[in-house]
Amino acid sequence: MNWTNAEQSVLAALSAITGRGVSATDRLEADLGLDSVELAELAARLRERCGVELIDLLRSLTVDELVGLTVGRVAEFVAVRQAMEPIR
Amino acid sequence: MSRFLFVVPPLLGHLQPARGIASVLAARGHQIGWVGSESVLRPVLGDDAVIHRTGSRVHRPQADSGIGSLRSLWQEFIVSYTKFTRRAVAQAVAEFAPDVLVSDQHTPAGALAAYQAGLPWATLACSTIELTRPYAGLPRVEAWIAEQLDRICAAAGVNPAELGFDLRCSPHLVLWQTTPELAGPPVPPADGVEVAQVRQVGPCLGPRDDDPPFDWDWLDDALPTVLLTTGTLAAELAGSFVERALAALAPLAGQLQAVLVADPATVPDPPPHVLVAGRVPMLALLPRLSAVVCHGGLNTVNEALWFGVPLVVTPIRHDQPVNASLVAAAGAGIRLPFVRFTPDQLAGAIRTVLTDDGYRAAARRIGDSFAAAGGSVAAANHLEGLAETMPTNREPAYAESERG
Repeated sequence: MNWTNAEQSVLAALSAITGRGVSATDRLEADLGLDSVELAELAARLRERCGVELIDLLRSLTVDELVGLTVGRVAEFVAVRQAMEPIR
Repeated sequence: MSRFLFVVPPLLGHLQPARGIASVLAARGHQIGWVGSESVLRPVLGDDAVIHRTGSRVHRPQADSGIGSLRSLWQEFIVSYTKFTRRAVAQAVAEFAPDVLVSDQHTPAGALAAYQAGLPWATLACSTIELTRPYAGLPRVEAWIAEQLDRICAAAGVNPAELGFDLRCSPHLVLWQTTPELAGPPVPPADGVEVAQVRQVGPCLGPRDDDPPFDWDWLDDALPTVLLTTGTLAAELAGSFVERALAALAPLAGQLQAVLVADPATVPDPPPHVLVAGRVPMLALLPRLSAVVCHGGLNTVNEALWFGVPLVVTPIRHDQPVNASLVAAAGAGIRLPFVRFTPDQLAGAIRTVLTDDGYRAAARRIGDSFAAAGGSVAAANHLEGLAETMPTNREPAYAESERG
């Protein structure tokens, strides 16, 4: 899976959760209003669809970084994680 | 008789429970003192209250949500307010000479003053955020909170390593405004923090002498009444809520009547089935209500559930998302995310909690657990117990019971 596919997966997951259009520059918290329950749902969808653990990203972020976390940053994490995986 | 000193923040939701407990203690003949912002405390507590002033600072309503609000809660309120009030609180302790100090969980100045004076003290927990550990999965967020606590200690000249307890949890007694039926058992706010002394006393309701008047004749008992409240939101958030609330209520005309708590100036021309009021006599009104729509502040949630009224919760910040999850998990209400809920979704949620009896039954069940927990009376009993067993007496008593 490449960058574009990773971004599409994240956008699709977030559209399904929020029920509205989502862009890469949206911040998960301030713009999309994602709360902890929905973050867990996003994590479950990305695990199932892309085989990555979102919590690994969230655990690594500071308070300031979590506040500013964008959809694009999540997509980048998914793409990088998948590139690191051995080819299946 | 004992002397109890209450250290409270200038926030109504924290002041009301403290007042509930203090009124029980005062009725039993104990002396009550207060430390806080007189301009906020005086109108609520009345002319006779003994208030040691800390001075006032303007705390502008916060507009952020989630972790952003966690950041501003600590940076813009807890840490700065502790610095601002610490000396005044220590001075109040010296002047009032309390037997027991009661410190709100979010005013660590009280905890520090009690520690430095060697007093027995209790934490009053008016939120769920410190005892449900919502950031357990985010180690850098928890580390950041620990840094803020260390900063507070350092500013007070206290070595955090020598403190021996977490500023959010008195080692003597913690009075938590909830029950296990709603919030589950207490979870330590950080690794190694003791929570065996946490008492879940339920909501501490009390007298409301400052209740505003209400147009009782407006209520038609043939229709269910729903209360919607913006709480103390920043103006731009309140506007977004009011706009969607009015749109949600429009198709419900004829099916219900609604009391909308908002600045009446912002709703100049409400429809006939909506009454707009800046403030309402909440405890008097609740027995007449069929549902409450709110942001999930613990006081409003507790008051609604006390009367067995189901909720629709649109959480924004602080412990509101936690409270909304607890209400939904208990089956006593529906949660809708504040940023995104549509008028249709809100109307649907209101209809559902009004028509599905399961929500009301679950709300009643939690209300029963609140009544059984004892509220202000139970809290006052625990505080009297603390006054009777000063720390110097506690050690031998414990050793004796150990020997059996």
